Amino acid sequence: MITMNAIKNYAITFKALLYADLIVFKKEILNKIIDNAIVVVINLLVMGFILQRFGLQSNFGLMMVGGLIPMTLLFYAYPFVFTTVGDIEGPRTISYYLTLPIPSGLILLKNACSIALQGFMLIATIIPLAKLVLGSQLDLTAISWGWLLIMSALSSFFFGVFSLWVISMIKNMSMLSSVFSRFIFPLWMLGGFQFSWQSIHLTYPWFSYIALLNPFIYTTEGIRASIIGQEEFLPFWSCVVAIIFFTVCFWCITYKRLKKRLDFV
Amino acid sequence: MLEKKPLLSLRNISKAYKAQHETIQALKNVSMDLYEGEIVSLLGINGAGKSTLSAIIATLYPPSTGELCMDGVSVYKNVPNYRMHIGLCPQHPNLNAELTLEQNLVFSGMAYRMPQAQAQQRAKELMHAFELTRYAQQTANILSGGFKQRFSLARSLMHNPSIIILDEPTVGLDPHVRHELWEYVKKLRDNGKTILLTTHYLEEAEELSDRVYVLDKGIIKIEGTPETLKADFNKGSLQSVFLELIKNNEEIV
Repeated sequence: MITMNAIKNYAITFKALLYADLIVFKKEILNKIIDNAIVVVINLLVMGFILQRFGLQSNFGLMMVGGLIPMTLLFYAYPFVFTTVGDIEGPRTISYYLTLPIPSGLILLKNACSIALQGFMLIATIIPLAKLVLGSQLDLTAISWGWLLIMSALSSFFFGVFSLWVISMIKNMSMLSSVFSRFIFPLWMLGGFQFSWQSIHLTYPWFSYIALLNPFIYTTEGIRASIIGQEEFLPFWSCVVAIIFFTVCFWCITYKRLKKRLDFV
Repeated sequence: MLEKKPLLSLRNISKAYKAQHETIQALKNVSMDLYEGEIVSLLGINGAGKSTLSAIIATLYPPSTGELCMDGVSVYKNVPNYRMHIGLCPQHPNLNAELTLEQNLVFSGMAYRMPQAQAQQRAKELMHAFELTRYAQQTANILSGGFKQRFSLARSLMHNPSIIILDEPTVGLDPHVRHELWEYVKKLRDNGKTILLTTHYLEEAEELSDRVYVLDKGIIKIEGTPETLKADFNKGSLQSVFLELIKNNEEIV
């Protein structure tokens, strides 16, 4: 049985490891913000202004803000797959962490939390950037900040766990590009990055039901419901439940697969 | 007279793993005891199972069967607690390349629940002891193998463990650095630490070990002090004993 004292001890180790990750992140944060700002600004300029000349909806830039937050989280988390798979195949720094005085599963959880926390800090810059680019198109008073906070936190953690799941699926570095083409890209492209679930439901109902199996759709819909309002999107609390469900599922699969692969105690 | 109780006992440890559809039996019913304040060497040719055994003792991998007990209690009842007593210096230094070497040590101490100030103090002491202070603010990737290995050893000692596992700690080190490390390892033993040393260097084992286990194909072939082994085999050095053993084994095969 795990005692309160043991939980307290695990928390101390967990915090120290997370802190070490954040020290590294602190060194890189400015570059990461600049990189992300370039992606966000260019996307919003093209989607919010240029493509409107070709007949795109006038509020499409606003729609894109909802897509850019999960996209940032996804593309921030994905490089961790490269570094972790490279580490497992090479220097295995993870071995050191798996001998620390904490249950080995918590090391995996720490990695997910670390990615989530870093991603969360990065997406905090998106709304101010979007306001700068979109101006009056983005009404800050219309944003449900509480919902946005909940959805951003849940999505960050989801993508942290998702990246571990990808790691667990990849046996070696040569599989990385295939996994991107076969899993990540379809999930992302069909995950509501550029469209809402309702719009696809009105056009291709059969496809909209398939899209409900894609966890990414709940992150984009939930974020949009927070920023634009509930009417045109999937119910916010359904998105919350779905993201929690998918996070738990991915976590269970990841834990089982990585336990087998790394053969930890 | 009371019989000395082992600090760590391994009973019938076996380890099998799958590699490309083939099951490899890395260890077969290995039993051994480690006592407080001794240096025990694990010897064997490549693939003998030395590193696997070290990793099992460090709880990096679980055994397929068998029991690992500390002070008579199974370590698997409370692995995190047992890990507080273990310091592992792996064969390949796996320092975090993005942190400075001082940060590597301090965060290691904090991960073992040391307050930050105490971890900083301990890091300074160890860097001084291993003559690493001038590299404190560098990252691991600029260091030579020898310095990485020293840092790796320093990190394994951060939390003052009672059992230290040194997996090939002197591979690739210059002779004078190796001798310095030997002296440090002896000091650790004199301070009551138990050291499990995995090595290819037989003169190292002879110089340092209180007892030696020779592993071959996952089985413990012989165990004893360097002196008794030399006497039993009527040889002048541990190296000659080892070569004799290997030769006998090849003849049997």
